[in-house]
Amino acid sequence: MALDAQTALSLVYPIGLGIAAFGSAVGLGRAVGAAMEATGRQPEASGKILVSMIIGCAFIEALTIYALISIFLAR
Amino acid sequence: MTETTTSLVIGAEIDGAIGRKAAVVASAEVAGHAADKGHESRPPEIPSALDWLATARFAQREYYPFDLTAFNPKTGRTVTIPVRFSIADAIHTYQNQFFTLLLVALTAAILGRRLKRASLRQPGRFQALVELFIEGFRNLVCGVLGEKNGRRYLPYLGSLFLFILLSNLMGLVPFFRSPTSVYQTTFALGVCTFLYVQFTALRRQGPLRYIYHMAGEPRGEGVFMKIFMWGIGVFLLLPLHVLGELIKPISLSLRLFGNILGEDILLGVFAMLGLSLVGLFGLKEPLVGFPLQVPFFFLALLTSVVQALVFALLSMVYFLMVLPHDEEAYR
Repeated sequence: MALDAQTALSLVYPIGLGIAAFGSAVGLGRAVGAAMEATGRQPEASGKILVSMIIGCAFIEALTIYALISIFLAR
Repeated sequence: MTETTTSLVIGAEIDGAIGRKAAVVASAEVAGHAADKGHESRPPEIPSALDWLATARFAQREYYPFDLTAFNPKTGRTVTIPVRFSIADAIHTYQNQFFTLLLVALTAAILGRRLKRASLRQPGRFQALVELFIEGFRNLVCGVLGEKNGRRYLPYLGSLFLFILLSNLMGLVPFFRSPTSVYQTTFALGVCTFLYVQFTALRRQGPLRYIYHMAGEPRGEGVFMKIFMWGIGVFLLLPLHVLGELIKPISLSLRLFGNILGEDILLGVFAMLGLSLVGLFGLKEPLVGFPLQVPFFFLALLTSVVQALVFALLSMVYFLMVLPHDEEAYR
């Protein structure tokens, strides 16, 4: 099997994507955990906390999405 | 082979739960193996109204100022990769998304027209519903930007939010694709926001103060400190800040594009899975498949709304950062 650029990228992209997903998983876990803790302290503010958590999760998720779409940009 | 796979994934995504068109795509998968033999047997392409629009002379021209040239030092020759694009080609490749874009614009125009006859004393049901959403969004904007600035930039941010929301949701309608699932649309939106924010900064703060802010606001007491701080500001902080400003539209557009395209591909993959599941029961080219992508409609709804909100919210924050700080409203 010849190791040209395309093959090498096909091997390495999933690893890179996995690392990005791992990082965002850690971040999301912390964000959601903090949101749950805040909800536990003040259940009546759960609506606002939910909205803020969703928005924060969108930002964290975007970093993994950048890694994902770099695959489509390379093909 | 990769192109066939990708195109049949993206081709299958949008027919919702029905998946009728996926039969054409499934036969394209069978034909894709035939393509390996060199014979392209795709279903015939029906020209659409957009192709008629693209017959204009200026659209047919190939604009090619973007040739990439590289010098190969080993052989001493210059390699040129021609990058040609024409508007007709772009419209033809993305005709589904373009059509959906026009549809979104038409919907917004019709809605706006209908709401122009809004009455204060006897609001109808539709007007009351729309006012509910607008008031909610207005509270959000004025909460972030303050009352005066909020009202000034609410039209742009509201239009942005509504356009992105409608565009994202169009991907769930059968036979449509979201306009935001191509990078061209989201890049244009990012550039619009970037230009408006920079224009606001230059206009409200003045160009001198703008450069001062970009250089990190250097302050110093003596002459030597002044020169030192300004030196650091201009040579280190200015490029950093400029890069930070330039990356903002790119990150905005990439986030939206990646999320929406990813959602569409997810739906497409599960639709194809449903099709191939029917193939287990005997039919090789099924007309409809199991609607396995239906649970992911809800995820797609959530993602569409959240990404529209995030785009608008980030734009709000960018406006907040360039507006004069002493007029900020504290919540």
